[in-house]
Amino acid sequence: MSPRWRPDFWSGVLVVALAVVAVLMVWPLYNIFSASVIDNRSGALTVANFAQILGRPAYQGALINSLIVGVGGMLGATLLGVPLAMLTTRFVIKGRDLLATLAVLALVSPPFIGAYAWIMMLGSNGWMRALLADIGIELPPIYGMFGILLVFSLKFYPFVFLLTASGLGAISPSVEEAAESLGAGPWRRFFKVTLPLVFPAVSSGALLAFVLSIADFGTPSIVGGKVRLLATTAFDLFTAEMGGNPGLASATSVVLIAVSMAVVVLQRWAVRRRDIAGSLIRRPSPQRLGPIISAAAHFVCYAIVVAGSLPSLVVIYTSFRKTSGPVFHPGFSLDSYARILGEVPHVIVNSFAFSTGAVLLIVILGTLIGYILARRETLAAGALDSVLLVPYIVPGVVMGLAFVVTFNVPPLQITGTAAIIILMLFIRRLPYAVRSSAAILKQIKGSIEEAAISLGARPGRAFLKVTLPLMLPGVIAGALMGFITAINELSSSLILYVGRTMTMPVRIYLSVLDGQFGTASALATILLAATGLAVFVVFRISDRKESVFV
Amino acid sequence: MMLRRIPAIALGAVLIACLTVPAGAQQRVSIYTAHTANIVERLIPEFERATGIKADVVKAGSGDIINRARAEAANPKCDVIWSIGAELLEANTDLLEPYQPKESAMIADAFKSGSAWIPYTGILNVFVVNTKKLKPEEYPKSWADLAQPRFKNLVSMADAEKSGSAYMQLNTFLTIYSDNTAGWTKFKGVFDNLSISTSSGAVPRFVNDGEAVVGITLEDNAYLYLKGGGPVAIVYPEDGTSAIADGMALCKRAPNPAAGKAFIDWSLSAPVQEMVVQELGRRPIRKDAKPPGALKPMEQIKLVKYDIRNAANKRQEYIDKWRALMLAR
Repeated sequence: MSPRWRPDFWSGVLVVALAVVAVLMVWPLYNIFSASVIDNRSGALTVANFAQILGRPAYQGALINSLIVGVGGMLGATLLGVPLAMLTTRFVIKGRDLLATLAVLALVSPPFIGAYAWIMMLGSNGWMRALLADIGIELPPIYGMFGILLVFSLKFYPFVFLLTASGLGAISPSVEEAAESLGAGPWRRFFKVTLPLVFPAVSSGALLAFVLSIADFGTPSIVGGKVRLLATTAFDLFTAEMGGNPGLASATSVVLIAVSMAVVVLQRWAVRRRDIAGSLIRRPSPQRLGPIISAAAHFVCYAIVVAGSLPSLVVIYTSFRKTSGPVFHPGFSLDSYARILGEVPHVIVNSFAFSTGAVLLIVILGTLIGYILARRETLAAGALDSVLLVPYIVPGVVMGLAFVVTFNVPPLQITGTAAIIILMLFIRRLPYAVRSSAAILKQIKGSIEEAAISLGARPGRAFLKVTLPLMLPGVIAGALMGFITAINELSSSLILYVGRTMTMPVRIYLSVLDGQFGTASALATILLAATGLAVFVVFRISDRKESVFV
Repeated sequence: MMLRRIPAIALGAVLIACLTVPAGAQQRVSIYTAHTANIVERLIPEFERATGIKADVVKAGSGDIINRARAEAANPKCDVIWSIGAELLEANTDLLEPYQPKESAMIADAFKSGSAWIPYTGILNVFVVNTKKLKPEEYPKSWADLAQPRFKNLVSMADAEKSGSAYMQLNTFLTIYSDNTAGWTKFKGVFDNLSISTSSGAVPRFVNDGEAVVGITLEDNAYLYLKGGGPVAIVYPEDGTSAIADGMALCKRAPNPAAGKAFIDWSLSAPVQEMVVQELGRRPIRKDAKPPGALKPMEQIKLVKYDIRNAANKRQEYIDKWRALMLAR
């Protein structure tokens, strides 16, 4: 390489990437932070907003509740996910692929769908509550902490399950055999050998469950009852402060980000130096269980997965029920579908158009940035890498607020347009595409491309003609993943939408709040079908199957 | 080759014909509305057929419509604002041009409004009860009954801070029992029995599904469940309730004032009011129109005088007190 810096294709990409990240991420988040330390009336620098958020009992309650929800969701997901992973990897469980597929489907369906499906099942008049009461089981009311934790545990356990399963699959059986031959019993072996080895995988899953639990907005506002959380408080404060300086909403957002960040740091610290790369000579083979224990193991596995899939089934069933206005009657019909096609066809079109638009942007820029991160180790690329961690810990509600604050005024006044929603989906999901394309590239030898360049191809052309075709399957899988998360996005869209840019999740959420369960279910079923189809295609083109989803 | 082009040429000719012929004489009206899409699609073709005026409809939330009209105030684009809450119209009269519709004498007294806007449909606050959980003699008869211990946690109402209808209901209670300390103490009794929802539309859903046995809601929301055959009944409180208008108005310096006036007159005409009542389950604004089937005639319902201006002025004070009750739960 020549010592003098010359602008080439990749430097251009780097400049564009830095500009995009600066405008769509750094600037909006800076605005939120500065709004949180500026007095609403005088405009002077102040800590009054934080003093209020941390000092008033009502807001303190929100912070404490958020921590309870985060820890509770994390524990629930771990208690369901780890046993499921242990049983399915260590023992012969029939229908393992089916279990994994159902877990993935539960993972990708929007959480607020689960929230209202559980209301229909466990509300004070729900059929499951009646069923359980008949056999003597009295459950606490669904509205409140119980409902939130139930939904989160069943929603986020697949993260723990999939990560732990792949972690367990990577432990060489010889380590455990060594422990056994040294005289350790099965329990001691598990706690002293297996668990420490799989801990990084379990804790990454648990961490995801925590961060997603405190970031989620739809679930607590549907089943939360009186329980106030940071995410719902930020949204309420934002609506109350609309038009002025959103000082309190911003301060709440900053607290929310701080909690997420603290947990991420804590997890990184807990798994430090635990990165034991086992030289895997042979894979562990699942053991056969005795008939009674096997039946019990099957029951546990299927009970967990079926409970996680129940909300989707309830939603699909509800969408086909016969209705008259908002009232359900015995029998089946397509009434709810007819109504949504008559009333809100543009909402369906919007959802597909916005997600596709965002995914196209994500694929183009994500692939190119991924290439830079994988192949060029410069200071700017390093900076880009760390900035791209930000969307993992910033909740959708906060990102939505940051966008409103930033793009509601010149020079870039785009609130109310489709563009702002597409850009939001784009920036929130870009890091995932960057990471997956960088990971793929690390498996493709750089020498092939260098050969093309030494044969006279320009860098951009060498990438397009040589490397890109090799990356393509991975890129398509990444694009579909992006599509799945984009089309299911609620919290940021709820802040940014106006009537004509409404999306399906927003409409479902509003319909649920209005008690219009029939139309909500029909829209949710369309959303589930689109999501399921994308998952199916990912399974077909990716050899890593379910592990691409975590 | 030529033969294949014929359809294209024919299509072109038709297009040109369509573009040129009507453009000259066609009268247009620009309407900003908060009506839902299905109602717009049902009513606007009727208007175009009846008057020959072409309507351009902008559909958005009430707040957005006012914001948009305000943003365009220097160079107005709208002729009519159609179906927006009375309080919003009352608070933005500077954007509106007073107009007295041809049939204004037919407007029922309960819905008579200020001079800048015209009532369009009537909204009534009612109780909705679950008929499987309560026998008719057990229904709450009045607002005061809602404070009875037997309704603990069984009365559904929306959050007055978030829902305009719930604020109206709080205000109705305070209009009946006064907004002094005694009135608020009385309200606290009702409040302690409440289970609070985010949206007023969900209240009859909770009652229909048996999650609550009584709901405080708008009559048209409850009517949808009654019409749908749900196990619900509507109760009109004996100590009085409020009827409030949903309004329409001519925009100040409207580009097509004549067409705008024609639209307002059409909206107030007997057949249109009839249709609106059937489509929305709202109360007709006219003295001579009948309410939808199962609803009690207006003259048999005890109404209190609901002061829209006072409701707008006292909002901050009432909401602060409401919030204090919420935080103390």
